[in-house]
Amino acid sequence: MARRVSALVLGSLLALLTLEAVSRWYFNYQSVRDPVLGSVVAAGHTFRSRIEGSGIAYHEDHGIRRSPALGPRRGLRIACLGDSFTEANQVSDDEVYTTVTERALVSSGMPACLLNMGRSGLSVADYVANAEAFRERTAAAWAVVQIHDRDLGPEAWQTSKTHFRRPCATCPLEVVRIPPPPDGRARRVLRWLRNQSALLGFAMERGQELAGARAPGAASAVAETPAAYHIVKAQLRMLADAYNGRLTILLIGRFDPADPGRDTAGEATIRRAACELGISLAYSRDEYGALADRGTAPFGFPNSSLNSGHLNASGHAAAARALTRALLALHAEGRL
Amino acid sequence: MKAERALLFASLAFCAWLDTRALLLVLFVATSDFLISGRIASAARAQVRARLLGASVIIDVGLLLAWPAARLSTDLVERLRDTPFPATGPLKAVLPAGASFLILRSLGFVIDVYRGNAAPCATWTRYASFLSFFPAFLAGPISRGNQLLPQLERGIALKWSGFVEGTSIFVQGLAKKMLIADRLATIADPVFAAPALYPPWTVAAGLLAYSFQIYCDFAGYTDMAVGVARVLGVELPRNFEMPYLAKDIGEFWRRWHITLSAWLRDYVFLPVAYAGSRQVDKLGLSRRQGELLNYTAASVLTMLVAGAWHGAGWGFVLWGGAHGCALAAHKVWQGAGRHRRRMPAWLGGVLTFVFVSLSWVPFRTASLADAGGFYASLLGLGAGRTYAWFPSWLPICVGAIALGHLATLWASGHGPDALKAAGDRLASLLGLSVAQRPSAGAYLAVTRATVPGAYFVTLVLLSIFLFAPSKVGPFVYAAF
Repeated sequence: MARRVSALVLGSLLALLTLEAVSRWYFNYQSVRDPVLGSVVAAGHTFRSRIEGSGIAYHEDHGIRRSPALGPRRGLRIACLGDSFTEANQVSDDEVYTTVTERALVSSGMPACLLNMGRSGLSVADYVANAEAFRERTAAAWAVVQIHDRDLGPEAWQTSKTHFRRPCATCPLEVVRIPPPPDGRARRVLRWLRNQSALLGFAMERGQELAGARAPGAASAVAETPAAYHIVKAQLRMLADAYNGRLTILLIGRFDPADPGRDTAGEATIRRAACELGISLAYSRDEYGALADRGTAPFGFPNSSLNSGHLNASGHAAAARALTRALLALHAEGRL
Repeated sequence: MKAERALLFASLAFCAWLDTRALLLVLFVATSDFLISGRIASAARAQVRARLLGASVIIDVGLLLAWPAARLSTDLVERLRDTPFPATGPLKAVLPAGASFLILRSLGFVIDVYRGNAAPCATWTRYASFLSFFPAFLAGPISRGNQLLPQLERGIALKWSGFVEGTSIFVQGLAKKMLIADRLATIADPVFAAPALYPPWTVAAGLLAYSFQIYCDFAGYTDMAVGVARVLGVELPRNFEMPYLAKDIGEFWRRWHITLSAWLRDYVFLPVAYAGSRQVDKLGLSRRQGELLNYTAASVLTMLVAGAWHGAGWGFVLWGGAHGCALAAHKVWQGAGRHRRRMPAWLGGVLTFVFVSLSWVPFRTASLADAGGFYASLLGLGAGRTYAWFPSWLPICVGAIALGHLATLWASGHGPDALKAAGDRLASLLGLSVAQRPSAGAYLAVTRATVPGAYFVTLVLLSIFLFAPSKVGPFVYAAF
């Protein structure tokens, strides 16, 4: 009996060790706690993720993603804020739009250093509420804020994360900040364990993913979903004010394979509002026609689906071209 | 007796959980066919027996056809009027879950009693247990009365060896479903949803993914059903025998959904062919011509029945008709083959696989127009821009299926000697053995607690948790 039990235990342990090795290659995430921003990738950690796409992401301090191949930070510092599309765990350091843009700017004679602070799940209200924290951590002179059309619609009003609120119909917008959960002992222990074992981290990630798939939208009650023009404009104004007008909006357009050039209603609203407010805007859709002509979609990976999920390398390249153009124009105008 | 009642209660509870209508259907069919089969066995006059059988056929087939007929006629009316039909509820409702399998089980039993191949069931409880046996209720295998009823009569037997063996088989099925079939669905679904977006080679990859998805999904369900039944000490028949290795279409149908093929052969094809042979004799054809005509008519009719059994849609009818014609064409080819060189086996296998895969298109698409669009994209005739996409999971899944086939070849003793020697060594190391059963065939099962065995089982179970797609699709055959 004892021999059977020991065989079962030993066999199971060996299987766990094998999966630990596989997880270190497939999905290994190590985090530290930032008191304002919550969980960020640990400094010096190379985060590998092959769940969607295949990304290798090196991180500097404060969870800033930056390719080691770019060398030390030189020139104008530009903080790149955004959600999982900027975090871009699906592509490698050299393919992410921040790296591609930095290289393009430098080769165009504009020394700049783009600091990628993208993090999955961030909202536009987060960029407003935490503007000071982002500035402190990057010492940036300019900000790029990546958004989608839905980010100024329902996504901005989800009560489960930092969100916008309008106390009354005539009141100005407010930001309701949802701070990261308190860093209790259990959370610290779990984070330590997770940092030691890629398998545990991957299993926890899978657990969250499966729970999310079972109960879609359960944790994302939307207080209000106004997409009216004046609301979108008010949100953009708050965003611009938070960075003293020193920002560029990077609008990632949806991709309709049948008609790549057509704006969605939400994107048209954002473009109009940004234009009226004089906010610099880079629009990835401007590059979609060329992508479509090459038979390439900006979203999707061989291990996921075409035109679904996050930006692929071609999508990042398109976003980088649009952003480079916008930043060079600002530079030429002397605003940057 | 208590165990029998407990099994019936569990099975009925499972039916009710799946679909309340399924529970009502089980109770109705079990009662009507239990009474009819008992009367058939006791009736002395052949005419009375035939009438009772006719009543059972009308009730069962009527139940089976009610939903598809309502749906097909609604579709037809909609198409003719070019407006949606106002009654969208009951007329367009799908069959209750497991209904088509339940009716085949019951009707087959009544026919067997009529033919004298089976004795009527002694108690209603046992007959209802046979019809609603929960591991196989949703999507088979379609057990015959003379296979399952004697086992239920002996009673369920919970034994440690059965538990270990059954669990091993269940885990294999779970892996087929969750690691392979659901992953392949992530490739096939988007391609079938919009084939015009993709270049021909991506459309072909999507079709290949669907061919393997439907196989792994259905074979995975069968393995899980066989595994659960084995835990209860019950043996269910084998339903798949590596069908994509078939060298001709006839062999494919002897390997694919074996219990349905056997049912159709015994209760549709053979009676039709027998009746047809008498009619053909009157036409004055040569013996060879008469045989071919009869075989063709019986094959096409049988496969049309198979298509209609799968659901209410012209795509299923087209699929069945195509397979019927292919069976007839194969028969003609076989006859002509006496006078010329035989086709190499590998070429026959490739042609069979290509035909079977192409025939899945109307089976999978929502309408004949969609099927036409898919074929057009496959041939590169679609209009508009296409986008290149190479699904990287496809070769991984196909490789896993190939490994599984090697293991099955070894387990069934059909592989070459080198495979047998290597398989024996590996199985000994892993503590695996072949559970060979007369009706169920060969399955790999864990028999000893060894380090490699525990390693293997833990690895498979954790891999399902870690790597299966987060969205688990329903069983494909649960919809039929």
